[in-house]
Amino acid sequence: MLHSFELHRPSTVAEAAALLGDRPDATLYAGGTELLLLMKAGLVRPADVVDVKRIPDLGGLAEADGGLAIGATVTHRTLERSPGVRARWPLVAGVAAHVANVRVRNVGTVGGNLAFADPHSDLATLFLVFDATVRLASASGARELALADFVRGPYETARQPDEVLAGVRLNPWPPRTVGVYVKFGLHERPTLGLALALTLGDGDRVTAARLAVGCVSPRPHRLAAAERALAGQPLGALGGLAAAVGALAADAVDPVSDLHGGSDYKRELTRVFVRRALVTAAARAEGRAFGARYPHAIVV
Amino acid sequence: MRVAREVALAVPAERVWQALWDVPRMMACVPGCVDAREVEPRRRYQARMSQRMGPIVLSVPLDIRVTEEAPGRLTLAARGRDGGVAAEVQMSVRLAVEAAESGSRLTVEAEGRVLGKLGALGASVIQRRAEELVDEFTARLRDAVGG
Amino acid sequence: MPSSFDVRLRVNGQAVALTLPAEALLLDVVRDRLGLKGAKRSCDSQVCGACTVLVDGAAVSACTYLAVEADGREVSTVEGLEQDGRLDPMQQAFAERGAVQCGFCTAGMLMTAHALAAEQPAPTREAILHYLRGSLCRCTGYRTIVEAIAAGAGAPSAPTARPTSAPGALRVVGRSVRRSDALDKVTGRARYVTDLELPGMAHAQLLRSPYAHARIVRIDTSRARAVPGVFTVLTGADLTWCDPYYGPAFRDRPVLAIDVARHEGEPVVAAAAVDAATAARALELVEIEWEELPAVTTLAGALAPGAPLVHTAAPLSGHFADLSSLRPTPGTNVCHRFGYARGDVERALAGADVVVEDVFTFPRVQHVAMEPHAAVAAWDDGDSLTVWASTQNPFSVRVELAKMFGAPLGRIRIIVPLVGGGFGSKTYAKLEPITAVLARAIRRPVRLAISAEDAFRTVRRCDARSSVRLGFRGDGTLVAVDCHADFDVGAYADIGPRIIQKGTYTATGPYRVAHVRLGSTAVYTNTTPGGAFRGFGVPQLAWAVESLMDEAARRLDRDPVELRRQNLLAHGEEFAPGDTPIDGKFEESLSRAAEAIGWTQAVAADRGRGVAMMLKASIAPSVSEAIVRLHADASVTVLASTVELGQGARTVMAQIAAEVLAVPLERVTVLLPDTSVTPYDQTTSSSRSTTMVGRAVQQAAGDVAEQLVRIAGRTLDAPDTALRVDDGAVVQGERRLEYGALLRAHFGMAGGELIGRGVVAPGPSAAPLGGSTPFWEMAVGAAEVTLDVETGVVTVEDYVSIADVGRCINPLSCETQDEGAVAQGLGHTLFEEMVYDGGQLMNGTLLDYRVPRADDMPARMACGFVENADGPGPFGAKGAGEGSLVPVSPAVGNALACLTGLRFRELPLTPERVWRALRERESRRTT
Repeated sequence: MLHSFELHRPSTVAEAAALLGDRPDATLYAGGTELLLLMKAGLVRPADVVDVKRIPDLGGLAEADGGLAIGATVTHRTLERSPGVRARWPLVAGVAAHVANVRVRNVGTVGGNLAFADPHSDLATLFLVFDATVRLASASGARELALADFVRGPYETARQPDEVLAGVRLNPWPPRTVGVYVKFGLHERPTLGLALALTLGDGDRVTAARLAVGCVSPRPHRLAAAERALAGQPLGALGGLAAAVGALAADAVDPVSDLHGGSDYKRELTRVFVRRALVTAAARAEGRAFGARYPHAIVV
Repeated sequence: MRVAREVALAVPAERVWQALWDVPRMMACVPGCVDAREVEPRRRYQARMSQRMGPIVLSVPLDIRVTEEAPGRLTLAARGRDGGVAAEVQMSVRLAVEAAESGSRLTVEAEGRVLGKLGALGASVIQRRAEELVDEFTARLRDAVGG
Repeated sequence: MPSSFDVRLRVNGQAVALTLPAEALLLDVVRDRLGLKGAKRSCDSQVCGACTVLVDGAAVSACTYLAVEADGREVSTVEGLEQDGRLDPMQQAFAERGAVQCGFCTAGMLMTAHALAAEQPAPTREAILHYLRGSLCRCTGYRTIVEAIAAGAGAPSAPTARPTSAPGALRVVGRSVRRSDALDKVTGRARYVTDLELPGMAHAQLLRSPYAHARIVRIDTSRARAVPGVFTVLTGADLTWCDPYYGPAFRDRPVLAIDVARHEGEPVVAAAAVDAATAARALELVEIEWEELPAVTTLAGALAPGAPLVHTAAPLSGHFADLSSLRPTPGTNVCHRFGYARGDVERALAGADVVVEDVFTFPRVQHVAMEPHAAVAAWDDGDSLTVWASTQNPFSVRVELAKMFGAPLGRIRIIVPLVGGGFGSKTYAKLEPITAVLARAIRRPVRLAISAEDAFRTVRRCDARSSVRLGFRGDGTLVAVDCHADFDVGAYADIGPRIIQKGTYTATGPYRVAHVRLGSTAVYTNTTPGGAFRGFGVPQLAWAVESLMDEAARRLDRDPVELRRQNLLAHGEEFAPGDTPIDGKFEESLSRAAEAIGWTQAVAADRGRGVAMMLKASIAPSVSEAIVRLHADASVTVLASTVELGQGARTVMAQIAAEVLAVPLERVTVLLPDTSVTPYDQTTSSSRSTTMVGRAVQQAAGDVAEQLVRIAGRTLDAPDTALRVDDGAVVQGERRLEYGALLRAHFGMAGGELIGRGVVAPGPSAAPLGGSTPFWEMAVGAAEVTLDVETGVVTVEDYVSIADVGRCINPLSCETQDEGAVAQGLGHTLFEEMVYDGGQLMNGTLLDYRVPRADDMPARMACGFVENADGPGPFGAKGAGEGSLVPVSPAVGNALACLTGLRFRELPLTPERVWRALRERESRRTT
């Protein structure tokens, strides 16, 4: 059961921004898979709900300048099934295919997911290794900011009340980059999400490493120390380094104890799965099929 | 929810102790806590606590009672209900001040719970928020006492 | 100003135009505005899939989808799958392959399967499992669903599995006939309580206690009552015109909290209004002033000296003979104490060569039946009450309501439509009292259907702590069992006192043991009331005793299978003086299980292997009655009060009647329970229906057959002994008299019918529990597990279950029942636990309370049966359905001990718990 509310259906970003400007307590609705649950539980009771799904500008999914521009109202399912995304951004399509369940993916949107800022979001974690930027639009114009600056804490973002999240742009990886995404958990929402991208240069050395972690800190974030430890290392050395990098990662997360586990357990999971992700990525970089499967874990 | 913090302050214990007993001013050091006022000196106070957790806004009129008072030790119990989200907040905050090398040492032990759906659904966020609030409280209190 | 929208959509191909408010959810529109009741509300949080419909071909959770979003789109529901009255291949596959049990998830499963099939013709098993990530079934173990989806989507699949037990001369019994309700369930026509609509029906909502324990100082309902559309708002204090207490053991549970609330989620105020939303809105305006009281929320806390008391006094119910002498301990939270002893345990333990002992705990878990509790109640002008209830024992509910309202039993009518899974959660009165009270107060029909979330606050399994000592002679003979268990029955005793008796009584398992001392207590706490749950106290103790059997094997340097075999009770041997002798050949089951798991072959280095057994007594004394009517056209109606929970009991009853009367199965109709129409049956629980009701049906059908033979004997002038029934006729050699012709001759017209009667009632018993068990339920489980030592994840790779069922009346039903039992066992073994923080339940939703999914099932799993036709039920059958759940935990625990050398004493074996144990050992080794 839901409380009654007024549903607004703007057809342009300007209209949406105007509505938000007039009604500071209005709630944005981009799929409802999270919002409607909170509304049914009586925890959120907006008088005004602004549906942004009918704004054509927010529904685009296109490649431009080598990057991938994902409109806020693109569903997980669209991302998962888009031939272009599957062909050229397989990690993105692969992770999208494992968000919640098929019904949530059919309805839930990328923008909704990022703007809700659940610390368990797979997409936010994944997009960090694409150095993603988000575009926020308001009546006074638009601004871009790094995803890392957009997601500020559990359920907290840098979006101002009169702004609409218009989309997210993933930046292309340099050539010879391999990626891995791992998520682990027993419950409906993951206990750990981990994204790793390794770029190789001459002599099969790692020229850049991108490593992001989700669920085990107030917000998804990159693991700079672990990334630095990987940079410059030869591919062949990664197996030997993996444990140490895992330990660096474990030091850098800030978990709380909750139903998903104690903070020490989450730290340990971080250590273990960073190591495993590295081993997997190294194998992929070497062109080896690596079929390791870990129970309760999904490796994309 | 349970948070324990110990902070060293550069001012004498007595000064901290006095600051704590200016309860409305002390309450104002808690982020989101407004309109603190005394109902009965050294016994009973009121304040409103507002917190935003994403789209959820919690706003609770708190009834605060002094439940324990001993030299250097003060325990406050607060409770209140937000009818909108059907949540009840219950908190107990134990504050202890003692002399230390730096001047004084303040110990904060906060325990609390949020009853209702919010308490169960938001348990981990509430725990984290409580830690942030206690940290911010001790920082602001430090500024307030000049320590 | 809330907006409303003119919405035009197509529903199953038909154009529909509606004006809807923005907040209308698609599920409510489909069900209540369009009358398409196939999609169900269950978890209400997008986890379970029971509400799945397709919007433009894409599966969505209709419970969390704004109906206005469907504007201009095509909505497909299960009702649209049939074409020209014919099942589509997916429906066909579900119906034929045993993928349908209670049916509450079926519509959602089918729509999900269709969405998959449209995207991926011939999907792989992996693709199906991935797609079912958000689809829960609590009855099957998913195998049949996965196979049916593959077959229905045109993927290569196993041939339609239709196991047949060795039937001998039997025609229908022993065959895997299609369930009689399969067609209704795959088409969405099946009706559950939640689907009922009566003219003028009001809708109820409950306001629940936020506290684990609190005194109600003041309640003000005036603002709530003033809301337009509200018929009434009731509190416990308002119930002066009925007896407001109920309960099968103690009348300790108020219809609404009176003075004190004793657990979080206890109903405190009830509202009835024109619709549920209005009732809910009204309840938000109720003001309650509370005084919080100290609460006890754990067994240890409740048993501590000076602990706050949950109850100070509770009168006995006096409903049941075996619960007529309950023993509460005044001044404590102990509401009943059970003890049983024979021999001299202390001396036997002192003289034993090996004594193993330990303390084990079993978690609080919830049934998670897909259908949350629901009831509809209506009073007529003549003070007669009819309740449509989702209950497993309508006759017990009738007694409760009759007592509450001081009405004769004959004026209380309980009708039980199809039930969407029970597993014990729907035994004894739950929502019926408050629904009947509301209906009485407003003199119109009232519907109350709670959410899955509130089911967590209605009933759960009793958690337990068991201290066990086993003594063995050096040669492996078990000589003594000393066991004490504390069971946490929560805030109200429900059937807890019987649970502790029955669970503890068979703590010795299927073993011969001379010296026994068994004790248990039922302990109140300020948590959700504990009640019946598949296994009824036995899983809690089997977890302890069967774990210790393996410890004993290790200490004695014996093979765990051989140690068990050495101590097994033999067929015909006494379990306890006065009780029914053992009716199975247990060693056969043990050998079958050992063989199937490959016990004699070395276990792979990365695996552990374990075995466990169980024994359970069924409810006793217990009574079942049945009536069989043979109509003029030789069709048959069976009147019996077995509740169809998904277990397939109605199909089994039809098979029995068809067998005895030698008529085609399609000619037999089995009515659903209606206490004013169908005869008495004590309860649909305790695995008793096939044996007890089955016998009553067999007897009643036999009664009709005898009458036929007598009538034919007169016509044929032949002695009865020369006649038999065969293929719809009474036969003597080559001469046949069709039933129809016989009846016409007998009644002198084409009317009249033969009525047969069957009554199964216990004789006198000297058994320790006051009634001799009608049969013994025995099962064996064997598991192979692997472990991810770094994360602590235990994976059950291989599981074998063998149950001694005497005879499978419907083998496919037995198989799917036991697969479901194993799945449920895996739940509390690996994931499930209600987590409390103080008195607050922290994971009372399916988002956080994890039940097994399709992809959790073991890669290899087999459920087999020992059929020696040695049961007291029809054709040698005995009970099935609970047994196979019980060995799962100890078999997995034993396998994990085999792999790690660590003995786990606490369930569930979550990754974190296992990881902590491994880490703790590591730190012990290094220090």
